Amino acid sequence: MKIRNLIYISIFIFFISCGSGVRKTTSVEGDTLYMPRYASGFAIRSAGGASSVLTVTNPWQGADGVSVDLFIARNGENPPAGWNGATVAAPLRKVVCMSSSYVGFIDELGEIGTVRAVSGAGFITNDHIREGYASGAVKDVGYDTNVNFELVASLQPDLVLIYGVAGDNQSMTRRFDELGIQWFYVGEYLEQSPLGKAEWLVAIGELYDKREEAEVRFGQIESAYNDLKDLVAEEVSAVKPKVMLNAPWRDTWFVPGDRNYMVRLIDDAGGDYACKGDDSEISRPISTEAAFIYALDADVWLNPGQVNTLAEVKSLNPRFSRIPAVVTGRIYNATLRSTPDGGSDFWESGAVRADIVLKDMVEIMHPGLVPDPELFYFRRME
Amino acid sequence: MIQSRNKVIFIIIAVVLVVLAVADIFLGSVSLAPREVLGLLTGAETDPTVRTIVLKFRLPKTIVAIVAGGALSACGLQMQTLFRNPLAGPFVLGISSGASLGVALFLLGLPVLGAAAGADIIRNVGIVGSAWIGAALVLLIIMAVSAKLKDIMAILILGMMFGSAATAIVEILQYLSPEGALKSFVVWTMGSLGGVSSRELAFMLPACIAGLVMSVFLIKPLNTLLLGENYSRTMGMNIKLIRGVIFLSTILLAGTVTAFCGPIGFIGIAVPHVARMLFSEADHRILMPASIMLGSAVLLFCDIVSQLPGYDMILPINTITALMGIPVVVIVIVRNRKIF
Repeated sequence: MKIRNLIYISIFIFFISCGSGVRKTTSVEGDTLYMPRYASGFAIRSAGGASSVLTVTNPWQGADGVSVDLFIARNGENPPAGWNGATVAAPLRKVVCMSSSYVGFIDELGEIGTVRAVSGAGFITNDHIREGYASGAVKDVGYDTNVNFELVASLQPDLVLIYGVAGDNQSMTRRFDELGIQWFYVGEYLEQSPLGKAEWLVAIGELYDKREEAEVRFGQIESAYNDLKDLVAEEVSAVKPKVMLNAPWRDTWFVPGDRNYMVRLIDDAGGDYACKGDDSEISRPISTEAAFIYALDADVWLNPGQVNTLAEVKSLNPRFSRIPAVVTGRIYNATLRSTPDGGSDFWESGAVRADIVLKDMVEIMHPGLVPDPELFYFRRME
Repeated sequence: MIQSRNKVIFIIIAVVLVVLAVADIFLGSVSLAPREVLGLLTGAETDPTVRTIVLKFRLPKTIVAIVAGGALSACGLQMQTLFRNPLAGPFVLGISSGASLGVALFLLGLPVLGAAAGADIIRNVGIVGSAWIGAALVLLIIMAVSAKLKDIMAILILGMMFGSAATAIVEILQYLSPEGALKSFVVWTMGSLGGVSSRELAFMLPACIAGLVMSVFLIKPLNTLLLGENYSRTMGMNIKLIRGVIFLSTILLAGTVTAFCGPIGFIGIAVPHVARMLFSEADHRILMPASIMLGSAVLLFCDIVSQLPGYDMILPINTITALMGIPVVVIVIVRNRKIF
């Protein structure tokens, strides 16, 4: 009898401990302060008084019906009784960024000085962060399973901005909870619409008491992006350049599905994605011979991997030397602004500056269509 | 009677080998009309796309599968006889891991050396050379230890320890290395047959054939070794020389295959046992050719499966060889505990 009880208790404890790391929060019924037009992952509501609640929905790949709330306190207000979600006081003064794109958003808001630590400093292109890291003012807290929690705790950040790749990032969130560190998911990387990604500027702005400023800024990016998209739609005839993406890893070639961010950009820039046919946003491994068929009449080749010259592309992919993109040399890599370790500003400030990213892509697909031919993120392989 | 039975089995294996080789050329992600492929092979005018796919993608891959399968199996057979251990093989003894470590040091060190990835020949020679050195070091240590320790299990465990140590160092290198170099190495560790270009094939083929020729010359000495080293010595065999040749041949076979295809597991350990089960023989005059042919056939089959004919997607070859090889190893452990 006793042993049976023990087993029941063990099972009970097991299930409790296996429970989701996402904390249930008492809901706050307030007016909607901001409902995104392109992004699908966040909303901002009033919490009564001056405070607000930032709600992030499905913050990791494959999440379904998950939402996480953050109480953003102002004027010394407290969250309602029973609230056990994260709480931060706005504006943030000390932040730890676990993804390079967050650095881009915060810099766009003019608050880069609040970033006290990043994950993988060698991958960040931002000058302020690079200088800060060199002088010791900005720390590197490591990444994935090697996060230096002691270092994070010693920095006493107001908030750690984290991401969840596949499943909730419990290995991180549990430790942060134990250490009393406030954390919050930013689901920007899951947004497949370029403007949806950029719209997270408003969510980050809310943390800095700069929501309205962020809305204005996003509005400018939005209209620049849409103007360019409209121009392409008007000017570009039925004949669109065919675009190949990524590079083979030995005999495997990972190609994104049709709803992916890069494919959306190609569409909006008036290009025709070569590997269409899979209605999803995730990448799939195809064989190089299948990729060869897709690439046969590709006019443009984007992101051909860790290469810097046309000669390297040819030497690493000898079987692709006769496809049009290689013959004409229309191969571009998002490495114009990159770090020696392989970080690229395309994934940093490019997340928020969707308008510049699109302008680059339009210049690549349709040279001469935009007045200023200079590329910002991409570099032609010479 | 037995001889004629063996002949029949050899003929069957040869036929299967040819059928699989042809199937490997005809089947793939891209569906090609058999008539067009046939036309190409007979020299008729064909669509350039079909031509490229068959001649640049499938034919090199088929050749690599045949050579790598044969090489790894011959190597496994030699290791099993030399160490008098049914579970020996290039992968288990850490030789592949040693080669991996060599390649990792080279690939990750390449940017530091300042050598451009564009310099093909430097790259290929560097990869093969570093794989040979890595394989040789591990093999040297294991041979040195086995001369002192007569315990079969100890050598196996040591091999695994060296393999794990090499893997751990590789992981540290990966953790500390820039993303680009890291990616090319991570993919390399998954193993692949189709990544070998015709230019790389020009390096791989001669090295593997040289190793295989040595293996054929080793048939008689290996038979004598089966009876024990002391007996071999009384038979007038130059044990040092034979060990040296086995050493060289193993490095050429396992090192070269690992350099170009990544560590491919379970072929080297499992195929010699399949040969033993089929022929019920311990004679290397039978086992060596049988292992080489069977190894080629098995790797061809694994390649066809990994290509998932008709689908765009492919699976890593290592996963297929593991799923094919593990049952054989399990059977060997459970049933044939007393081969030696």
